[in-house]
Amino acid sequence: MAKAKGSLGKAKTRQYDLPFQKDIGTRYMTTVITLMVFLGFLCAALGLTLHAINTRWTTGLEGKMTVEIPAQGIDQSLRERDALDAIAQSVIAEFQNHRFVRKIEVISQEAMTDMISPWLGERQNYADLPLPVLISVEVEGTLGEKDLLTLQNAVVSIDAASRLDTHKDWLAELLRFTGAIKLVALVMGIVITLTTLMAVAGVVRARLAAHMADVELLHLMGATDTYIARQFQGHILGLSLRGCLIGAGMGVLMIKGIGWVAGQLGFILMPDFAITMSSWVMLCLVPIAIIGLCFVTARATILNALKDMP
Amino acid sequence: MITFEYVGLRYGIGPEVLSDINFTLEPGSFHFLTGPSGAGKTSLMRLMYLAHLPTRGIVRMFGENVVTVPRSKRMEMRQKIGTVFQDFRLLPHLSAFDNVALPLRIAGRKDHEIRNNVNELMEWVGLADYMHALPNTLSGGQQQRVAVARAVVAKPRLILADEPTGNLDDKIGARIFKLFEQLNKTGTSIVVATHNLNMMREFRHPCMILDGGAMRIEHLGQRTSDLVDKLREAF
Ligand SMILES: Nc1ncnc2c1ncn2[C@@H]1O[C@H](COP(=O)(O)OP(=O)(O)O)[C@@H](O)[C@H]1O
Ligand SMILES: [Mg+2]
Repeated sequence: MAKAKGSLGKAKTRQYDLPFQKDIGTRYMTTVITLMVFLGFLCAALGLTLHAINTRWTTGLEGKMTVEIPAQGIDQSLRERDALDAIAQSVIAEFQNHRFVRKIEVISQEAMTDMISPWLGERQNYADLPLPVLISVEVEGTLGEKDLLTLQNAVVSIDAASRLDTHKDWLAELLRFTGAIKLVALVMGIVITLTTLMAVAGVVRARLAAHMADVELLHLMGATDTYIARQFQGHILGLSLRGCLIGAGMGVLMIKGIGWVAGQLGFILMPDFAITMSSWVMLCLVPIAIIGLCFVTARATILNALKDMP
Repeated sequence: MITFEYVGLRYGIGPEVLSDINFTLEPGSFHFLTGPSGAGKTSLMRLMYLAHLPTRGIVRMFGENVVTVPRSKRMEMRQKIGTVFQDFRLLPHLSAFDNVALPLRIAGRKDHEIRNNVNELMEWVGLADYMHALPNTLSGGQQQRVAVARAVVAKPRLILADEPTGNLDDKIGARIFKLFEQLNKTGTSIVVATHNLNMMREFRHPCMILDGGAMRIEHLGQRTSDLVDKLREAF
């Protein structure tokens, strides 16, 4: 037993002056950080995706509107295709009088079929469906109230059943919805951060209590608080690094998984759930930020506790 | 170097373990500290290595009042003191080498410098073969030698040794005392708490004698032998 020269009783390479390696709860600490990074990762991914969807829809729809000429007239009677086309031509002619209308065209039957086929399935012939005629309109910038009213009145005066859709209403609805989810993601992110910080502070305080005698000894040998804090920091940094790597790995797999499932199901609302390059960079910041937070918390906790020692 | 003025120390609400202690130790001096068990030798040492602050009176170390000196300065003062604790206080998870290296690491010395100093010293205390052993695989005497090596490795200005030869046979004990003697010749102040009458007789240094909470210093001279005889009777 006391054969010191042999491998028995031979110390491993010194890592810290304090015996953290033997501490209970080291794995618990790593697990907590892993889970927190994982959740933080998902929250951030959710937030970024929603943000991307928002921008896509808002910028995509800016300055765009649609004139809808329904197959049914104001008296609910089904109208001939030719009649609808004639109305469309009048609307186009009228709109072209305004210089802020940049582009105006009837959406082709093929394009319409492409848009609705995901809902209705492949059909041989859509001609017998009472499809409306849609005219896509692009204007310079955003229209003022007055110009918008002029266009709306023009449409109604040509055909009482038709209307000009600026997409504003449902876009506002979409933004409200995604905004609410983004808020939830943000609150979750804050809760996750606070939980992580409390866990780290708790672990550091427990470690300090467990190693009080050794810490006192280091003090007696003239170790500064910074020297002792470095030991704890290093230890916590090691733990959080491990936790962050595992958590981030799990997060990446999860996101890839969701993207794959979304791709398989062909979500119409999120045609490109796939996270862009810049989003990945942002996501990488999550574990880095959490590691930084753990580090700073460990240091602050330890320095705060040590400053009351003699 | 060290000045005590009317120093008293009590633990909690207990009685005064030390009372009205007055003395001055000059730089480069060598003192024995002796007295019966429980007389307060370790307590006096604790005041000197700044583990305790006095409950009354003034302790001045390196010219500074230890009570009023800022905390950061107190850390600097501690770096100038090398202590051999009565119970060694080695860090159990560190090898003998790393235990001895600790004061140098705290002082921020370079790795190669640490290696050279520690190796040399371990050789001197006869533990060259036990560099990588963990303390609890070492005998009491070997642990004590590690503790001594750790106390002197950073070349402190003051060495406080609390019964540093208690677990050593006379031969290795004498070796340790010679080490202290040599360090003392290079200007290090030394206080050794001991019961070892042979050593006190061999190395004729002034002797601080603690008894019943009070202290007196008996100076070197013809009388030291008588003193030793008297002490032999006392313990
Ligand atoms: N930490 C402590 N708390 C309370 N009493 C103590 C403590 N340390 C020492 N004492 C008491 O102080 C007295 C002196 O002890 P100590 O300084 O260890 O003496 P010595 O080293 O000369 O044997 C003893 O009566 C002891 O019981
Ligand atoms: Mg003692």
